Amino acid sequence: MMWHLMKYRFKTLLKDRSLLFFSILFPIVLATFFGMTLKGAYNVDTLKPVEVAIVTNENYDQDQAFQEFIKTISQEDGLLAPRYVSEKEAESLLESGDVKGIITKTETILLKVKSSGIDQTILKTVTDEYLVKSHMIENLLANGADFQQLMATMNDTTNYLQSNSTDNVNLSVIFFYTIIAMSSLYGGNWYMRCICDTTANLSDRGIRFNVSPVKKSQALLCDFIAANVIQFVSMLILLAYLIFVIGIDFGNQISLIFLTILGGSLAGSSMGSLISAVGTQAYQVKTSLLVGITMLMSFLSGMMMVQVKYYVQAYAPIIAKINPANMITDAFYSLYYYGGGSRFYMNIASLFIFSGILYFISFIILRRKQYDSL
Amino acid sequence: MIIHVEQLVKRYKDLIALDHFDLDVQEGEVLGLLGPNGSGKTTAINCMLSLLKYDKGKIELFGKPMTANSYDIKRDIGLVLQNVAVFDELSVEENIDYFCGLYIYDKAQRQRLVNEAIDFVELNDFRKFRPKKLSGGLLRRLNIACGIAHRPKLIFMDEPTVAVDPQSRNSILNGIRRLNKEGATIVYTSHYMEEVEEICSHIVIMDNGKMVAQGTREQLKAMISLKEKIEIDQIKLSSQQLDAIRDIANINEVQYYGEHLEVKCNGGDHNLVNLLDYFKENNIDFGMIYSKLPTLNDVFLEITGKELRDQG
Repeated sequence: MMWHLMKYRFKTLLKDRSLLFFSILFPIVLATFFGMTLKGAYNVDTLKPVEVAIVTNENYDQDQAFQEFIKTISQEDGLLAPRYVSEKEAESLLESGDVKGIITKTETILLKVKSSGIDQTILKTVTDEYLVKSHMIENLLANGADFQQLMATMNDTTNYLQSNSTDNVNLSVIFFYTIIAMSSLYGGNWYMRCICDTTANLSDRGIRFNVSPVKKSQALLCDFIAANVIQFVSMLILLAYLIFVIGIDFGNQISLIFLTILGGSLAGSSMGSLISAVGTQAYQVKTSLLVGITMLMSFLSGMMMVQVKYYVQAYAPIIAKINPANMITDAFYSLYYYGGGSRFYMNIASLFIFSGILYFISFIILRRKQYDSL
Repeated sequence: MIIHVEQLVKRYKDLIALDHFDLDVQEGEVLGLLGPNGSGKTTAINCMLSLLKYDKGKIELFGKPMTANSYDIKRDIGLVLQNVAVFDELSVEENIDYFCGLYIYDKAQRQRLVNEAIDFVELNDFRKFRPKKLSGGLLRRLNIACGIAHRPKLIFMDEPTVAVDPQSRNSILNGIRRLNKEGATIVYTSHYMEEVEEICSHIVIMDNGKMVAQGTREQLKAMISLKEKIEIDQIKLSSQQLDAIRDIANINEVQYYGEHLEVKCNGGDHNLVNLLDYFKENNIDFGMIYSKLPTLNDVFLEITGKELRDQG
């Protein structure tokens, strides 16, 4: 009997085109669009040298140290891409946008910019750092410091930030994590379809099933296995697509990635289970409900705008804690940036607890065999 | 007794769907459950199948109390629903195999039964077709096959011929006769009196959740005063002539509208002859004339004051 139920359950699910589309094809299409538009957009290690105009006036010509400084930071893959021009030419280049700023050597260093942004901030940092260091050296020399004392002071810097992340940080993966989260939750459609087929007040097939001598618990178990196996496999397909076709790097902890996907699949399946168990709306209405709730959860976990995730964590942390989409994306974060850790396991545990609670509630409702109305 | 229902009461909030409903069905019968929409036929069946909770009463099938956990009883029951309840993703053969497999675990036996069911409903040419490719009549046949493939002893058929073409309907009704011949007891609900008259050995008429009459076709018709109905088209009559017709023996009701005359007789064997004699004596011309015996609709009308046809 179990084999008979599972065999036909696999057949009906794998031939349901709308389920196949929403659970497998749609996330792949979305990932493809994201890949085309977002991949590499947030790579911090691809900073281009800032184009800057250096005014070649008399002060510049006389300051060897400053010339040496500019030359050093303008070498291959350096911070600046300088153009040595007259003041008039510099103004023209700034106006046309060919350079981001003008550095003019006077008694001090003047920086002129037209707008604000990352490049302009870099120019400001460079000029400020030069001024600080050059004044420091002048003071030390005026106080009679020798070369060794000079070098010791120059190298005596304290960095108050500790890097705790892995290398090759790529912020665009955030969007792909939310696709995985969304797809996990969409997977609730598989189990929802199963439950509607075997529950008398949800479909005519359910009436026929309930009149048969098959125990409901048997059917629920078979459907649970079939739906979750299909969901897990479809998640693996999506993951393989993201890694091998889109080229997203999820790190190298395969077993923990699978664990995250398993937790996400169960969470989605449990949501589908609860939505189908509660109320007697038509199957199409319940599907729309699941899609709507999934989209909302994905939005709150940063799918459309990354900032939303941080706002929710800052102003409504309880929502972040109970949102399974957030649990999934956060688990992937933890894996990617920190290689796992307690934060990762907290999220995984939360996913399993979330799933357990929803399954429990839905099975309490679904185990009944008689209804007030059909 | 295959089915024994005693004083069944089912309420939906303030609405009484079944009002102390009684029913007894003998083994081998084809019982027709007749009544207009909303009379409680489907509710009665769902209660008997333990799908619905009920407020009061007793239900026994095969001599045993019927509950939702009566899996041994459920093994001998088949259900043909009013709506088609099959999987769109499975073929005809797969659908029948799936539902048969809920009752029959042995694969070889099930394969044989599936083949027999497909033969029975004459869907051999459509084995590999999916439901979406089938016409309405063929879908109904598939629906029946899914409900009877496991050879149940008791079959509930809830309006199985709704929206079906006449050819398919005849095929379905013939199939029901064959099932009964092979030993199945059938409870057949419908609001089509012609079907019920044609195949049912025993008829129960329901209205407002109650049984209002039961018996064979002849017993039910004998319950009412109407014995014959005569209709005449394209006839022109004056009020004096209508009064004269009313005075003819055994005629108890006359209706005349738009050159159509309807005469109801409560007895007598020569009502038609008497009427024709009157028309001849008075040189009254007419178009068509036909005499009909009372139908179940007339039975229902006389007992309840309402038409049996769909009341919208």
